[in-house]
Amino acid sequence: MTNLEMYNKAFIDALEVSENELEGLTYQGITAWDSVGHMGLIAAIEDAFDIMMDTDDIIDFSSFEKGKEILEKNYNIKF
Amino acid sequence: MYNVVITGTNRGLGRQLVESFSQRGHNVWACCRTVTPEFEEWCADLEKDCNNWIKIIQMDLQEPESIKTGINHIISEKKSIDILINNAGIGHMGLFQMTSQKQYRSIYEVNLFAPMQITQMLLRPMQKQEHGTIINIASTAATEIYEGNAVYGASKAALIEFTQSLAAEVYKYGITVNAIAPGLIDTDMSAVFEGNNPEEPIRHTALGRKITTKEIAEDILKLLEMEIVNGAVLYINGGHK
Repeated sequence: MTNLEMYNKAFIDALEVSENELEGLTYQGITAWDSVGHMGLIAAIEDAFDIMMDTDDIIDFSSFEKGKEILEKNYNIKF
Repeated sequence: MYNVVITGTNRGLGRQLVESFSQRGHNVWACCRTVTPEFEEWCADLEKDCNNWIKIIQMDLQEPESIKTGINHIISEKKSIDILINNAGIGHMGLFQMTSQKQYRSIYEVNLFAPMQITQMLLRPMQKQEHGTIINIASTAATEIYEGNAVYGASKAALIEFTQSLAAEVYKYGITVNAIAPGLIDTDMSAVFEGNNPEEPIRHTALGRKITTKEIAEDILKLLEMEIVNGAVLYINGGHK
């Protein structure tokens, strides 16, 4: 599985969305991605990539696209 | 058998907690700022006697980066982190107008912000493993009103509010958060509160003496058996008179 596939899967599993809903998805843009859903999503991403994200990054993680940017920049995960 | 993170372990109540938890067969990450050869030896002897492991984690609770390094080290071991006891604290007794800004910020750093940072970091592994127990060591000073208690009392009152609100927030993940509020304990720190009259604080307790660290540690161990108790403040002070 590629990094992008793992990233997408974390969203799909944690937020129960389909793959074609991922582009443009934002925090609090759907009911499932509330603060509780956010922590579940972060846990799924941390498990997928075996990382532990800083609190500041968790707070900045505001969209599907922003999340990839944070993972690339701060955790050296290439997409 | 639990894996337990305890802060402020090289003396006083923290050291007793390491001993009492070890004697029950629990494993301990013993966090402290100053690691002496005597403390290392004491931990090694205790490990042998109790057949558990005790890992000393050096961290300075006045320094967020030091906390981050220490806690990340614990997390990186990928062991179950069952219990966190935020025990470390700075005692203070003094008129507010005689307390410098540096001093009250330092008290808050250790008594409130460090427990918050450690808790925030350890909540995530606890959430993933779907269980955890957090115990914050507050103080009866959080609710007592007397001259000289403005800073210390406020820091412990804030810790209690943090405990109770967090308890509401994380119970859904199988995590409980409670506070212990001891009265005067037989530790070095109690001298801070006694001033020139060591008998005065004791006069106001029904118990009529200081509480031992062992008594508090035993009560904390009993609290661990109570799964539904959450957001509680357990006053261990022998009662007021």
